[in-house]
Amino acid sequence: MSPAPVTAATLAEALERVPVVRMIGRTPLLPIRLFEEEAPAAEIFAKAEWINPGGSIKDRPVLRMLTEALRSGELRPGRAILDSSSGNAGIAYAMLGAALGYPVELVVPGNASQERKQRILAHGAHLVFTDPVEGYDAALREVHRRHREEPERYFFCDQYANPNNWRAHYDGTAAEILEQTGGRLTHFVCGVGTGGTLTGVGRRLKEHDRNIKIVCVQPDRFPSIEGLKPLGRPEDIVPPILDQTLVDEQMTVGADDAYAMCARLARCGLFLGQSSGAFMAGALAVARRGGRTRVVTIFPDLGERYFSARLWAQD
Amino acid sequence: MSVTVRIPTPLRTLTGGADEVQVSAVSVRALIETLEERHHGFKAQLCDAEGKLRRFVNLYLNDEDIRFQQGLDTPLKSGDVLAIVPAIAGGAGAPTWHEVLKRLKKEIPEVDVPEVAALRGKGRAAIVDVRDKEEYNEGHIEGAIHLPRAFLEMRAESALHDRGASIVVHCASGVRSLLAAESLRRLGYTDVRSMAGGFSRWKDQGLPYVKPRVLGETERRRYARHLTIPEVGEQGQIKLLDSKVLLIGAGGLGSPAAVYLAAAGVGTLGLVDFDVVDESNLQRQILHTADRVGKPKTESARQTLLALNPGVNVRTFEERLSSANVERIFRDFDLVLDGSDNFPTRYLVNDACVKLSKPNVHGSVYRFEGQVTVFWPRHGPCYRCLYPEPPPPELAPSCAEAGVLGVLPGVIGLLEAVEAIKIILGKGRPLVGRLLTYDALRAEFRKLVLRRDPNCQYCRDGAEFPGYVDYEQFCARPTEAVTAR
Repeated sequence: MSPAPVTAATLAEALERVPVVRMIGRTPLLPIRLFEEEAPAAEIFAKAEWINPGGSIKDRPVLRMLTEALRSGELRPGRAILDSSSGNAGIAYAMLGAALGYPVELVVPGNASQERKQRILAHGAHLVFTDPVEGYDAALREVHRRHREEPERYFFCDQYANPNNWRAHYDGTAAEILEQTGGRLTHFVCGVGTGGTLTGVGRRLKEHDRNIKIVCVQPDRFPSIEGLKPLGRPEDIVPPILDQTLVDEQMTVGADDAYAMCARLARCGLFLGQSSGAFMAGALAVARRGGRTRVVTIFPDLGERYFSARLWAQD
Repeated sequence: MSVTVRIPTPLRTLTGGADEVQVSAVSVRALIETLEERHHGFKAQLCDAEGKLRRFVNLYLNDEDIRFQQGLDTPLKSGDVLAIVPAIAGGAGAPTWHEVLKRLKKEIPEVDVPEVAALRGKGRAAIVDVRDKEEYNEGHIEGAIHLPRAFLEMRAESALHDRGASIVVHCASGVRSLLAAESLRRLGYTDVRSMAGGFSRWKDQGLPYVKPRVLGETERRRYARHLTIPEVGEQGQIKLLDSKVLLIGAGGLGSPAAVYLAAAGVGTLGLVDFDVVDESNLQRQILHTADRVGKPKTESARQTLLALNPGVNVRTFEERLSSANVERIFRDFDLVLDGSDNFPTRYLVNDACVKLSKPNVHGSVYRFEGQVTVFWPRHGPCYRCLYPEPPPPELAPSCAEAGVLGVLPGVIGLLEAVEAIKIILGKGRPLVGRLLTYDALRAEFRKLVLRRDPNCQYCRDGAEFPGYVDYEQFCARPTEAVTAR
């Protein structure tokens, strides 16, 4: 039985009461001391985002986007939450929709991983699949089409264009990083999926100290890295919420490099997903340049999410 | 044994945008080799250095993963469908260029060239040219706003104020303008269309366009410090190079003004002076040098100015300004800078400027004091609005009698030069209707308001030109700037 839907009037109370909501954010910042031989003068830290109840950093922006929509009345009883996602955001929508009493409809590419599909279904959300050969854009087109046809039926969250996405990171992730580092850091390394993390964290850090360098990790075009979007070619669609002016440096990390780092971290006891591997590879590349750097990066999710994608396959 | 291969979006750059290709091959391995022969780079995308299928790449043969069949050795038969599917669903769904173009063609309304010409004629739409500077300089639609695509987002707000206004974007062929139109829409502009066929079609249809003048490399280096000022820039520097300034007198005021105007790149400098260099001039008239004493001032000035800037066209008039020659001399110039220090000339300059509607930058000096203003007919008062008639000769001393601190004409002459440059550029607020005075002993600048006399015989609205007056034998002594030998 799903709970009665939360409304603008009951929102404040729900934010206190609903368990998974209370568990989102305030993650530890882990000092990573695995690379001291390669980068002796550098300090590397990573935000342990997998401990969010949905298992990824996506819980933060999704919670913020949904609470703001409840507050404004865009999301209200009678409407379903609608968006596209390839995975982690989908889980966050499904989990929070279930907790807040709203139906959830997600458009995902057919090759979304089994782990994600099954968890989304477990929360009772409705999945719509698009042709995997047509890539993520097919899912984007489909979600826009659905919203256009029945605008009253849905609250279309549109994580790529919703400013509350980056605000979650500005007020949450970045504020925590500043507190946990005492405001002392030289680099922040992450990538762009919707652009929410980079824009929100990057803005806050630059306001605190404009000398902090923002390094953007980019995947190869094929095969890509879960949750990351290649940028830089004229045909690449830039997510509307991404503020590219914050980026001081672009760094390409391929799927194979990301995997190599994941394998290395696993041998040290950290079992992390593909984007964590990519960001760590980027952070290490920065640290290796020498100098007294303090690099902060993000571990968005856990390695368990990638069995079916054969991240860990030993053949 | 024809097999259909379904190509994922990121790899369609290799197949020229095709989402499916037909390949004849007996096994998946052979198929990959054939693909590589046809579309170089394919194999590296699918296989690692050892030739094994890469991690994160899945091949589905009729919806079955080949890893669970015979791997790369899985046999193929006619009618099979092999789908290349990245193991990772998220993120990299970057569409191919072909797809982007198709989408934009659908989303951005296009207008054809004749319609744009009609809209432009009626002033119904702002035309935005998003081509690069070099292309723009090769020719552009007159009145088009030039917003190179690279700077579009940054400069749109200052160039296009009204987000609801009708905007037509064009490039060379009509492709980049689609992208630019999309960016403008993202910035909140609601009525943005793209001109189909671009500027090349505009030209093909015989519609008019203009080809702006551009600076050469030498000029670009010489005026580099001007080019970086937004108020000047390349277009401003071109205005300066195209401008023609007439200096009345190559003396104390004319010297510093001429030197700096030549340095600034004013293209044509005219000099009217009838005098020769005298030793007593050298205390302030920096155009001239000790070895030129006795030579005509116009010649001395030409020598100095060309040494400084050989690009300047110096035109000299070694004659006394009079009602007989004033219009002939003034006609070709855009602006007159009055550096004379005698009343007959001032009145003549004023009257001619009123008649020919030319701005007259006026300065004068006396011992430790100087003043400067701009008489711009119909924009503000003229000299006669303030002093309808000259003072009696005995009250009008020349420099020779009164004396002047040598630096002072430097200060005032340069203020005149600044006003001249502002007027040429059309920037700032010219010193019209205001008199700036400088008191060197007190180190004080003051501004006095000058009003137009509605009954002025010369410049009142609708006034018939009353004719020139030659105030012959006016001064108690001959003066130096414009004088008889």
